[in-house]
Amino acid sequence: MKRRQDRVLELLDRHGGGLHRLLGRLTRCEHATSDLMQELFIKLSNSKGTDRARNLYAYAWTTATNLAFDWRRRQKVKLYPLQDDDRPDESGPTALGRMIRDEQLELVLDATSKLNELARNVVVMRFIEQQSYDQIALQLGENPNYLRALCSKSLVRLREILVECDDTYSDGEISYG
Amino acid sequence: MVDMNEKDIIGAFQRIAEYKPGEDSVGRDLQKVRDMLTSQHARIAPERESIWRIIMKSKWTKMTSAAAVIIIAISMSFSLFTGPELKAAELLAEVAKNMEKLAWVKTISKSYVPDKEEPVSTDIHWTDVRNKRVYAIYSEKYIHLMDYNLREWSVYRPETNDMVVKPLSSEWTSPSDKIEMFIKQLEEVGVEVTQSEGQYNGKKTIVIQYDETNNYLGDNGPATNMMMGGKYVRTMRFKIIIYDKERLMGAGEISYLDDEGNVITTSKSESQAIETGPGDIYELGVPRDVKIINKVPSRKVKEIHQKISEHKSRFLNEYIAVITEARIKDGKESISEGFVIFCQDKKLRVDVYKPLYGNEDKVTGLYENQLDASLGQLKPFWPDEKKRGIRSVRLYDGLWQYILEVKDDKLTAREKQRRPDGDSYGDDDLDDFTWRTLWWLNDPEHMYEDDYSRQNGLIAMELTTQSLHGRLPKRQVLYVDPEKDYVCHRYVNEKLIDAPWQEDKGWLDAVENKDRLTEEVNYREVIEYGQTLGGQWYPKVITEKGYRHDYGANKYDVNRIIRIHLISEHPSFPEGIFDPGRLPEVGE
Repeated sequence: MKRRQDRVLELLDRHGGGLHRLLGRLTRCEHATSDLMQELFIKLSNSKGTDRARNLYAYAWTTATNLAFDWRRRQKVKLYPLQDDDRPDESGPTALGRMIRDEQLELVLDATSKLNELARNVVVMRFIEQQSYDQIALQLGENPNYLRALCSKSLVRLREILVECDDTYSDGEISYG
Repeated sequence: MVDMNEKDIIGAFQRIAEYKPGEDSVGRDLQKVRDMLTSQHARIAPERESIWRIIMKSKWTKMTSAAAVIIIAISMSFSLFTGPELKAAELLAEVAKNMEKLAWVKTISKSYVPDKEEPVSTDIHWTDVRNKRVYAIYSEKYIHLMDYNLREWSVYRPETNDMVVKPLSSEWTSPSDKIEMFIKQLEEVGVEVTQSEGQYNGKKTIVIQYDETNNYLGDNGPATNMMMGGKYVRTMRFKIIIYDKERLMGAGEISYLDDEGNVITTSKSESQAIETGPGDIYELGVPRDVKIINKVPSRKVKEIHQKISEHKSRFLNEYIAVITEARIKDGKESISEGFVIFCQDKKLRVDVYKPLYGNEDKVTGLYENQLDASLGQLKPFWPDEKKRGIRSVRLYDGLWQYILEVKDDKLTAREKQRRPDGDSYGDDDLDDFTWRTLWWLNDPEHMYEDDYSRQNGLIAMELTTQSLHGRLPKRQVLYVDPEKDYVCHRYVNEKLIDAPWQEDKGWLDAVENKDRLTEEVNYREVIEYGQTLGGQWYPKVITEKGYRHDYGANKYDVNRIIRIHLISEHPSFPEGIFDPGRLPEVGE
């Protein structure tokens, strides 16, 4: 029997890059990605779940996703409305556009963290990992049609969450915790 | 700004998916993790406690108690050995024989870590051999009593001044029996024992020494994960010191070594036969006014458990069966899992088939020879071969568990696991479906009665638990039919947010991530019974109804049906069905 550490090292060799990319996408922060990669492998090294996991990559994927969204929830991000003074000059609409777009991405990810675990995982697998419903179904042991429906409902729910955020935003600032 | 429609949200996800980290940062981060993993485990451990504090924790005390049993056996101050050329096993057998005469044994075990002269913990055991009781004080603080007659285990915790009394599940084994088992184990494992001469307490001694390497796999995974002080224990080094002239046992030692052969800790024990020991646990220092938390089920509950065990032990030990589980939608059954079971005493082979959901089956056809027997049994109950495919093959040969799962379009073997206690799955055998028990965190169940049990002549037991660490309050109810071999007729499992039995009604306010909560309600009920040729009952058709409700979100109904088809009793099994050598990959 290979020891847990061997399994974890093998996982690092085979899927380290993929897990790093996943954390990078979900945190959009290089420092957080680096820290969470270490935290992920500490957890895997110390967890009995690693020994019990039939599919270690799937277990690591879920743990990484949880860590990333926990990290997002811990961030007390305060977003202030852009003031006139902050606006870029005429030559820089792209800069403003990029700023707004970046904020949108953060908001969408923060909203995703508020979905329940299954819905969140399916959304990440489908829209960020860009897997087919059949691939997701195999990983999660669920019916692809059910997952398709769940994805669709999750998008509606995400829109609702974003609207709730917008209401808060109109009060001056929003805070995620 | 955040007025985004679904298309915008998908677009946002696509932009997130476009993220590609710089090669430098990936390489740097992966190397950092690799360095961390390959360095000392103590550095990986997130806790920053000193080594001896970690050793003091529960795992350590458990192991010390196990080690003490052996050390009790090997460090008795008796003249036990007669011949000068006796081998270690024979010497120990003599010890075992003489220990049968003892009434009480007191053992003091001290554990040491390198670079520290004083022991980091001291444990004392008093074994009352005649009354089958073991008293213990661990770390000079925690007082235990294991009463094997009453089958109760009392644990006094000074911090909270309470004493938990819980069921004792293990069987009494006398010190002499333990030595016998120990010798047998040594013979089976085939350890290499070395004998040498030495000095102890100024006397010439014979030192018997051997190493046992951790490769046993238990319920909780490989024992190579045994950790002490943040380090994996790879080797246990046993040392028995015998006075040469008197042929007396001098002392016993067990050292725990890490992967690199460094001693993590050493336990040294000395035992002595005593005429009498503690009369009760209070004599060891438990205050008389201690708060007692009773987790022992009532006598009636124990009786029902006993009945269930008796009937379960008499069930068929050889059979072939097929179990299908199906979802029901609009009155139509859609099979979600099919099990083909071959059972012969402890040996068990289960081939698991799953629906393909429209995908092409590239796997089953590759293993026609190996799956021929199970496919033949499954076909009458799940005929459409285009809709199902092999998912996994599980084989337990009485000692080793082999598991093959579909991966990369082929059956791939997971590492085999040694399971002396039985196969690792709780839902593979027919008797797993037929007899069930309630269990949750060692809380005791109690006898229960409601309209359903009264109207159906059933005996019921209930177990409720309060919300713990943000988990939902849970309730389980087991209804057994005394007229049908105490078979589980109905099983209720509820995890509710607004649970009537939850005492602290404000528990939800303290939960940080409520969106992770999911209410679950399941009612399993037998709607049709079968009987074996010997007249024993088993469930033929079980329904499962209920729902899952994600907090503040979607609710999903559960409506399933489980059909159990007992194909044959005491059958002639297909040749090689329990032979791991014939499994794909394993046999290659």
